[in-house]
Amino acid sequence: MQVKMKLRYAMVCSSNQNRSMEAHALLLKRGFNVNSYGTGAHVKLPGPSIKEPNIYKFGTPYRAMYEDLKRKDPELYKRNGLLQMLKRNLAVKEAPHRWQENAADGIFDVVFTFEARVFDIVMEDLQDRGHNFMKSVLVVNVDVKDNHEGAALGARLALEFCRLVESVESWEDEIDSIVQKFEKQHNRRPIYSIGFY
Amino acid sequence: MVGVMSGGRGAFREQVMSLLHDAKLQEDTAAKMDMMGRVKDILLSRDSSLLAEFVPHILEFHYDAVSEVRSTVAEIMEEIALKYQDSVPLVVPVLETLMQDNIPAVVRCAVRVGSNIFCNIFRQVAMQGIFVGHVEKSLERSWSCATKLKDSICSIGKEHVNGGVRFMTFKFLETMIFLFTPDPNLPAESPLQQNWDGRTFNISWIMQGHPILDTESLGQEADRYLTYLLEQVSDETFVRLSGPVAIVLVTSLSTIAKQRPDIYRRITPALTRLGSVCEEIKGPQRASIIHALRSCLVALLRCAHSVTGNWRELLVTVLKAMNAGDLADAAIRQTDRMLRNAERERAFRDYHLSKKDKLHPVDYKRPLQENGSVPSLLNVNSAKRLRATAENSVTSSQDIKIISDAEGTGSTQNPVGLNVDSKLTPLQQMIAMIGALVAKGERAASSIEILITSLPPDMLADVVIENMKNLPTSPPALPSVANVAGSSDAQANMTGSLKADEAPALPPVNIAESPKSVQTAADHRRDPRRDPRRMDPRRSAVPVGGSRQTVSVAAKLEEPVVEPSCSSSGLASTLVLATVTPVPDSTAPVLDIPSVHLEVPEVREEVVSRSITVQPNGSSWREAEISLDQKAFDIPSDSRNENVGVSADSSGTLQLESVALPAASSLVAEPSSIPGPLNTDSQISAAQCTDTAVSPVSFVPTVQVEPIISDQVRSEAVHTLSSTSMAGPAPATPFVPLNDSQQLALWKVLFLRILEKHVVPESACSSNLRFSLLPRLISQCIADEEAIMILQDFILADYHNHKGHELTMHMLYQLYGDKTSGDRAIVASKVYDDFLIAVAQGIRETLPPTDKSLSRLFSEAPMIPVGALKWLESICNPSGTDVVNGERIFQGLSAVWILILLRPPLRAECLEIALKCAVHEVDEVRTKAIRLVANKLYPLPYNSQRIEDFAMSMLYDVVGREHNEEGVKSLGCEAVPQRQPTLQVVNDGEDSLATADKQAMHGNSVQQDRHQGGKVNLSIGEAQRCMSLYFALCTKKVSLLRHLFEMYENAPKAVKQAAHRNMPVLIRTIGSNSSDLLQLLSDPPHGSKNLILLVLHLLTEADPPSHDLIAIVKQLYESKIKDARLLTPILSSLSKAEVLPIFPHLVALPTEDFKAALDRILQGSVHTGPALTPAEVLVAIHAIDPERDHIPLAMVKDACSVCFQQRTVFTQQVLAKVLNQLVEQTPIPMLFMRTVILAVGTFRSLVSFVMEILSRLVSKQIWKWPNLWIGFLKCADQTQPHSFHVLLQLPAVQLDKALHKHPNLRAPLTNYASKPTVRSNLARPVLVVLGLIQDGVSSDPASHSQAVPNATTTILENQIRETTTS
Repeated sequence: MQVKMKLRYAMVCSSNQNRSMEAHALLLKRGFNVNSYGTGAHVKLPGPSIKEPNIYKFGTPYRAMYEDLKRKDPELYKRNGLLQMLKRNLAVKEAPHRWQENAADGIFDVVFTFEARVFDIVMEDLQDRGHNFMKSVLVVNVDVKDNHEGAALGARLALEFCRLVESVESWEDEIDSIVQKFEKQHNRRPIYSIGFY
Repeated sequence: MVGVMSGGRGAFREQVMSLLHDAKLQEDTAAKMDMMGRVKDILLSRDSSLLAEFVPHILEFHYDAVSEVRSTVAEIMEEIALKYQDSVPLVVPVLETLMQDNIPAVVRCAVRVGSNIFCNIFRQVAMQGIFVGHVEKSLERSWSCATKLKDSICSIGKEHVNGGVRFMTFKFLETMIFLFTPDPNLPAESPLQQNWDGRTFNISWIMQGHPILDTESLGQEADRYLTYLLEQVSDETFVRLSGPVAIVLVTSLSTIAKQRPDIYRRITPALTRLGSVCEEIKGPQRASIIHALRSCLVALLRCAHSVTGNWRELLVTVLKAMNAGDLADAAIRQTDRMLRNAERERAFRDYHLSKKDKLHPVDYKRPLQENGSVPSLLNVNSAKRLRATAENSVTSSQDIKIISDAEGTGSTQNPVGLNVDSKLTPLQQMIAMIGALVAKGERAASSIEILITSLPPDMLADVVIENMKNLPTSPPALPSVANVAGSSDAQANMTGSLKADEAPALPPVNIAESPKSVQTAADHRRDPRRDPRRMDPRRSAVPVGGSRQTVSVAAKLEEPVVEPSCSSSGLASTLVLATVTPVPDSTAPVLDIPSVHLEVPEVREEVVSRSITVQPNGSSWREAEISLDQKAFDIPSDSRNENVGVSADSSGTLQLESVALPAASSLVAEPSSIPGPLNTDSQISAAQCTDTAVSPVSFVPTVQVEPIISDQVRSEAVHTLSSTSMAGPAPATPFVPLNDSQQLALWKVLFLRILEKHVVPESACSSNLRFSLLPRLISQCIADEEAIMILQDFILADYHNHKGHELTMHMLYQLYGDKTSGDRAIVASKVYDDFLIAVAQGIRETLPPTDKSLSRLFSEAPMIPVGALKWLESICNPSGTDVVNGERIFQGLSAVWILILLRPPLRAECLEIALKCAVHEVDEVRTKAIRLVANKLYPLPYNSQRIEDFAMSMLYDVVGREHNEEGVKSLGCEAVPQRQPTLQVVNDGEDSLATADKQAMHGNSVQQDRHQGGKVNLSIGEAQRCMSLYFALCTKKVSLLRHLFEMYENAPKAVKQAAHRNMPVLIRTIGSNSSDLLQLLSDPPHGSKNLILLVLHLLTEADPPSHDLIAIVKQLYESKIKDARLLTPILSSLSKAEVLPIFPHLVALPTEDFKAALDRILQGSVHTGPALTPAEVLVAIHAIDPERDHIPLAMVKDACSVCFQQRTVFTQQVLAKVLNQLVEQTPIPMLFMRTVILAVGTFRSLVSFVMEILSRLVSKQIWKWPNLWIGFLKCADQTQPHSFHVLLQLPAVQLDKALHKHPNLRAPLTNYASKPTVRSNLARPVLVVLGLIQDGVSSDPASHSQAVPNATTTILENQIRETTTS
């Protein structure tokens, strides 16, 4: 039987496609109460060349993207793993969501990001929202590359970190030791900050 | 369910009871919490009436052993308290208990809940005070509980060891600071009750007064919190903080700094200092803290408020030291962009403001002042603005009320006796208020201080100036020198001086201090420190007696002590008129009429006694009288003698002014209903009558400040003044007025003193006061040029640091006010003009060209005189002798631009200036001006027509110059006839042009002179000068281009050249998609072919031509312009089938054009490839039949040569291929042999291939085509010895002919043939021809040669060949 997790988690990357979704899928599998988001203005997926990315609006179903790419160049997108990724995503949730527009999703306890820029955007966004509930949220960043290997690694790291957070009485009192432990185990130093809802 | 419904309250009650019971017994935590949640739901959403009964039961759970349950209790309490504020008193003790919990998580939860409850109650209390005017008892109870809660949270935060608790309390403190300090981002006025969202709140909303909240103490509280937070970032404390605490602390501080510009400067240095402190942090949190700090510093850097500027450099340095230089740079770039946008917006906003301000010159307030210079950091009163609205009056009255409450006098009795219902100007109300407070004596000292610190500088300055009339003309002796020396802040001094118990302190603006004249007042009631006039820095300058009209009115009511000069003085100040619209307000105080009366006692004692009579409400008049010792300023002997010109004697001869302070007045509902100036008696009686008449209903006046002229005085509020007996010694002192020069000198000295202080960096408040004071001072001594000069020099000495713009603006508005107010209008007008120009000139000379101050000056000045415009023109349009500095011109043009944007009345003049620059001789000037005109001004609808007309007239002018006689006639007809009707009647071109000139040029003398000079040999530079603007406009409005095309045919060479020169840039800018351009191309005016060709060429230079363009060109070629050159640009996009038919026409073009066309053909488009391959080109050339295609053979030959020149394109492979194809054609093309010869001449290596060709030609009996035969022989000749074996293939007859034709061949050929291997293969006749054997029957070569051309000989030849080969 799975232990009921205490906290709500959000995995955030820039397009809510690769890194955050990989982590979302993994944490979901491990019984975490988790959601995922992207902070970019649009959802960007690689295209035939670096100058021709596939751009979608947040909220476009993963299935629609899947169909679109499949129609455009099934070979290419199969080769670069996008189709598989989208297939994975559509099994997790319907569409990519934007962090900045997630107010309706309620309050998260821990936000995990995979890129410093995304981390900063999340912090800035939390500050801009105004603090109506005085509810603290831990925002953690571990940098990983935005490719399939990076995403897999990032998801594992996120899972480890969330397990550590879950294992303590309250992260507010133990975050520094969590970071220390994590750093020791994985040889990576997460950056964290405290935001407020 | 039905049972529940029918059971109603009872059913819910039972349900709740059983749930609570079960929860108590339940051991499983989750189930217990679930039950509690259900109880909460029922209580909150089903039956709230049960709340009072069951809340205590729920609260019992806070003793539960499980911490989660305790936290849940707190959370349930939060929801209940937020929904039902009545429950707060019940909840608070529980929360306070939970805050003492052993488990930090519970404490945190309690802190969070407490914080939310406090904020909610605070907002409710505040808004109820605003909307209802009082706070209900129950809410007040909740409020006092919430306050306790807040204090508990604060104390916990300071003591608690747990990091989580501490950062929660830091967050709480941040929230408190936000709540208790004014938010510049929210409206300063409260919304209507129905519009309030229940969340947003700005403390400014209750500054006008609140029944139970005291904004001042809240501000102080916020200050304490901030101080505490800042203490936490001190080096040693910060290093010890845990990660979360440190991060929340810096984030909170930076958030506060971002949202409260006033506090920015306190927080920024503290945070920047942390840059180095962070290095000392050890532990896993280090990186996170550094990252958080870096983000905070970047956020501070990105702040756009005005205070940021000073800290930028420091922030960047620190960030760079933290390896975040790139972040800093990006932030700076972003901020700069924002600032630029904001500046643009501000300019527009100011424009609207300035329009209003023109109507209210005295109350001129710049937005920057409003935004950026809130005097003290956390003083909530500081953000108060004097608003000429209904609320404003409430502000004044309620301020006093608050103050009096604070003084503990209670609100039941109104000791101040204010009449806010009367029709007083804000100024008069303020004076009355101060007077009333003074009347309260020492009790009110701090209230006065608060009041004065909160006054807007303009208002304070007016109060000062107004009261100066009440001052003795002689500065009484002052005891303290040291105090003045120690005073660096005028504000502090002034306010400080009001504290009765403090040692006497002088305002820093005192002229000087005289140690000798220490006269302590005998009577403590005359304590000078209580006199509000002490705060008046210009008191000593009063002798001239600012004769405001309001005062004049008042003076009439005075007893004979009134100094005549008071009202007769020629120096008029601007007037403030209050238009009073009564608004009912139940909170307004009762009608009281304070009357302040001032007398000057014996001057030798230098003591002023002043009595203030307060007339309270009703029939019982209470007279509160206080006498104040007036310690005014004393002029030290040196300054008296040297500067001031007031001799020692004159210190005793002082002018007396005694004017009652304008007090509460008779109330009249409509100002306009006052028929005219009332006489003294009627005023007094009116005042007395209205006292009783009005008291039942009180009004709050809406005050609208407007400038008035003297004849409007009658509509001003009527002041009633009751003069009372003098409290001082006998008024028998002789008063000797200062003469003009003495007055002036006195003003000047005073003025210098203020300026000196101005340099000292001080709080914004005091400098604002100076801004207001200085202009008024100068206005008093307006006749003295020196004062203006001093100010001018001061401003320009360091324009930015001396706040030159602000000072200049205040000065200009003051002068503008003077200009319009009659007496000194002429002087003021001149001074205004000179001052404006001088400052502008100074800015131009002293500040860097990129500085925007000049534009700002011109955009914000109350008006721009003609002189200033001329000056502006002179800097924009430098004459030939001036050294042209492009940046300076840009500075001028920017100002012109701003004027056009923001000052519609000046638009036309300024536009002319810009237009003149746009045709300036100097390129640099012209370029900049054109950029401005075309990019910025032309898009504005109100400018575009004029700009277009001007550009067109310049174009027509330059085109017409060489065609005065003939060309212009037609041009004149076309010359924008619809825009310039005068041009329609054109019989004489010259006349029309002259008319156009006059209209358009507005005296551009250069232009006219040249024009009238008749035919002028136009240089290209001149053409360029006149046409540049036109070209620039064409990029914006392509349809204008047609004019140029129309006049192109007849235009002078220079114009054409200029057109050609400009066209590339123009066309590139317009692009090939412009429909106007395509329209023009599809229907080009007659004679514009060259231009069209140029345009087409340019259009297709970079990008392939569009389908539209191709269609247009084809159509054009077929209909109008039969010039193959037209097709050249589109060739690359044509298909082979399209190119081939026109190819002969291309060959017929001049070599250069053909070359260009060839390039296009070979280049082709990216998509379709070249239209023709090189081989195809050559084949096509050979296919041309000169006769059939009417193309001279020479041109075809040239075309071939052109191809051969391009050896890289027409390679030997290409040639081989071509030759192969051609040789197969029948008939063989005429130029074939020529091409062969050329080919082999170009590529020697083709020789063997050519030999094959020749052999094939032999087999084709080449000799039958005389032209080719000649070529064949020539080729054989040139390719010997390789051609020998081909020659030997010729029939003997032809060989013989060939050898005759080219005798030089014979010897080598014979030699070659005589080789045994060759010879053996040769036919006999050949050998005969070669003379290798003698043959008696050898035929006569001559007969053969004759036979060659004839077809009849063919048979014979065949026979011969057969015999030789056999």
